[in-house]
Amino acid sequence: MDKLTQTLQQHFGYSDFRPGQRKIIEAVVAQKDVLAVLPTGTGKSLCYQLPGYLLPGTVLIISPLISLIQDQVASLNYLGEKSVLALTSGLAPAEKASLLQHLDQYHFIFMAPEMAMQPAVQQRLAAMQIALLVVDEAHCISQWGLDFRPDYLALGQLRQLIQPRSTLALTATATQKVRQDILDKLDLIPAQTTQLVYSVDRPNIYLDVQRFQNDAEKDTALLQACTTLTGPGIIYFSSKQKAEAMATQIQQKTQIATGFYHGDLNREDRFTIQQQFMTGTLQIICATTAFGMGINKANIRFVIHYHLAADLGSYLQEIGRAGRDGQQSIAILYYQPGDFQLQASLVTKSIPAAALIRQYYAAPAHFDQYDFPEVQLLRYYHQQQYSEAEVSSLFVKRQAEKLAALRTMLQYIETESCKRAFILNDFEEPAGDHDKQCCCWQQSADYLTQLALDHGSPQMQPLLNWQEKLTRLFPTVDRD
Amino acid sequence: MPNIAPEYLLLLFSQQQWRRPLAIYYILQGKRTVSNLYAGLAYQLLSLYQFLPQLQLADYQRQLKVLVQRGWLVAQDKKMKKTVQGQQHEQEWRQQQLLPTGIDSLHFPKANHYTARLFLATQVISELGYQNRQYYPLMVPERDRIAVKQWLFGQNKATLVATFAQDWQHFLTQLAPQDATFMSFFLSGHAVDRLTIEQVAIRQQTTSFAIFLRQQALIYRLLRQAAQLPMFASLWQPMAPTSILSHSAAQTYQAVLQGTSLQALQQRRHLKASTLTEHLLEAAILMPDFPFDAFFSVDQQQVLADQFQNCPIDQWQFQQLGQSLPFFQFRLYQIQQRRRQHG
Repeated sequence: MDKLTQTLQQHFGYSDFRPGQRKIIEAVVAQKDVLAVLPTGTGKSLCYQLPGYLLPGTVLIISPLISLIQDQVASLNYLGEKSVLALTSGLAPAEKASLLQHLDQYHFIFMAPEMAMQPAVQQRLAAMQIALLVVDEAHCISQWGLDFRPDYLALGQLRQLIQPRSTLALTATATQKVRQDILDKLDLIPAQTTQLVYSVDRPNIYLDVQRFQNDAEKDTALLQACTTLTGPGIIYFSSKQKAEAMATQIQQKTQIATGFYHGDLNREDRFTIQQQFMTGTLQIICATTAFGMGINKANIRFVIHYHLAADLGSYLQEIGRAGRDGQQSIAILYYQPGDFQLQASLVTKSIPAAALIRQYYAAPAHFDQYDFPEVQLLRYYHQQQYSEAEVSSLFVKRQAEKLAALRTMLQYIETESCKRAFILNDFEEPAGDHDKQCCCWQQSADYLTQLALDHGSPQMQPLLNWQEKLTRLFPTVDRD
Repeated sequence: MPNIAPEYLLLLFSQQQWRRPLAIYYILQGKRTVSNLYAGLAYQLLSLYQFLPQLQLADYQRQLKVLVQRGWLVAQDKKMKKTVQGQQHEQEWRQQQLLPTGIDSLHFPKANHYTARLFLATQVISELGYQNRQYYPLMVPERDRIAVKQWLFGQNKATLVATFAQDWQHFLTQLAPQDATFMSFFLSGHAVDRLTIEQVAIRQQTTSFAIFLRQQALIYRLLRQAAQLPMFASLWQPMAPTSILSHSAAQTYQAVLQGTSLQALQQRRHLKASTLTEHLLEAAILMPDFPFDAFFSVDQQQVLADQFQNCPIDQWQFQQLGQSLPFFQFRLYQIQQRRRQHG
């Protein structure tokens, strides 16, 4: 057994690598800079977790979202790794100061890019030995991408400052143009950077699209799907209220334990619900896309989109949470007239409106205390000396791009040929042959039976009374 | 903290007494000024001091507006009073509610943090009992996580699981079975999940705030019984305030009890005279055995008694005294009479 496999077994309990993982890890351990494109659900985290045990020094992971960081920290904790730190904006100043002082005692350090830009943090990092700098969701650095985050741009400068032994840029989806942009912005020399690009395709996820006339039809179909489809499953919604309402309805009408999850829940509740899903207490989660980024549940059998995803890349990311165990799974996209408009209005909302641009440029200092994404974008362009007119036209263009990306979702729905071929074509990849396990094109009536996905989910268990619960929690305790 | 339903705010007002809504907000939120504490005493709401530190003023005002619009509260000069309809509605509403009693955030501040620590400790100790190290610890605020870690470090590992479980057994046994089971919904551990407040609310067809209130009332009950629950008590111990008074007020009060004059204190501590008298008023409101008589001469007491004997306390005005006594003594006397009235 070689050293990599040995480490895999010892720390992670697996005997084999999944496709792509070994090559990336080999390159990282050989201290090469790596740009890896690995589809969602294929074990990206392992590509920096495992080298962490073989490289001397700290692994610094830059990740865009606190929720994602928390999930990643939790999964390392779960594996028994205690030397993990999330340096997030939620810490009290005194806590942060004390953690910064002991920063070099941690093996894995997670932070968002804005934290990595703080002078005190940079000063500490520069004095440490950083074995590996990981840029997670690296496509956020590219202005060509739809998820561009200006604060990612400073990571090139951070890299210069902390001089990591190697850098690993990780992403699930990136076109050639975005990949080039990632290399440029991180100051990675193409000739010295190992690029490992794997197909976005997840062949064990069957792609289904279902069309309806109205909400009522959709709701009926959803309730039916919940009783028929083999769980566990995730149902994605664009609206928090709808997610809540459907979760309640599904649980009441099907007796399948169903929860809801969205950004308005507090951190503790989000965690609890995630745990209930992980342990199987909940079979179905009705969620907004806030759910699932760091979810490492291998046996999710179905992902249903009640509303449209923002673009094909996001769609792949979201359905990629199904079938991580390699078993047959299904992704179903629901569509009814009006869904496009709903999603289009959400897309438009995420781009600074003309009025906001005007207000910002009139008095940028007034916005110093605000840090929401639209203001971050404006701040970045303002600092880059873009004029108000240039920024306005840039955002008009960005909005058009986002709407174009959304229209691609519509084309995906409407395409009268192989859905998988459509997706792969959009990502500049060759498609394989269409078959019965592929997608809903030329679908037979009993496709769920053929896919063995029609076993339903177990029904809710009654709640324990307090004596039963206490006995389960502490089995050795004598009862009076 | 879940959203508060307007009816709960109705409970904080009176049909007889005009009350300042802003003072009530600051009582719930825990803004410590003598004026707010005095309002807490006058309205008999001191036990709710800092019960809802996360309550937002805008949310609170929005709910009050609803109550006024429905005709249940009436407003006048920045004060509010419950109407007859408001009282009727409250009574009808009470019949459909299980209104928990025994909330005492004045003596047990930050019970929400204690709750987080208690549930995390329960999970960790349950896993420890199964000798399992692979689990996701509950998500709690960082300082609570560190506190539990430190607390665990100081425990006897050989007996920890048994003694901690005994505390739960002991506490839950004394509760009504439905309360014990209710409390157990929130416990998680080895291969056992918990429910969120919202999930319990859906199951019991009530609001999340009602569930939150019931849960917190049980936590206060647990804290009051801590003498019989040694493990729970030791988990509370680092959070226990050394005094019910603010740090500075406690210092002043102690010094005065030991015979130091206010003038001497003023010089020693570089504080204004008014700050020191505020400290004493805080003590007068909060300390059970405050020596009121030490602050009045017999003559002064007589002046105050003569002036106010036939006037309800709510209507007392300092101006009625003319220039005969300073405000400090007026307020002190008022506090004394309030406390006598409320027993």
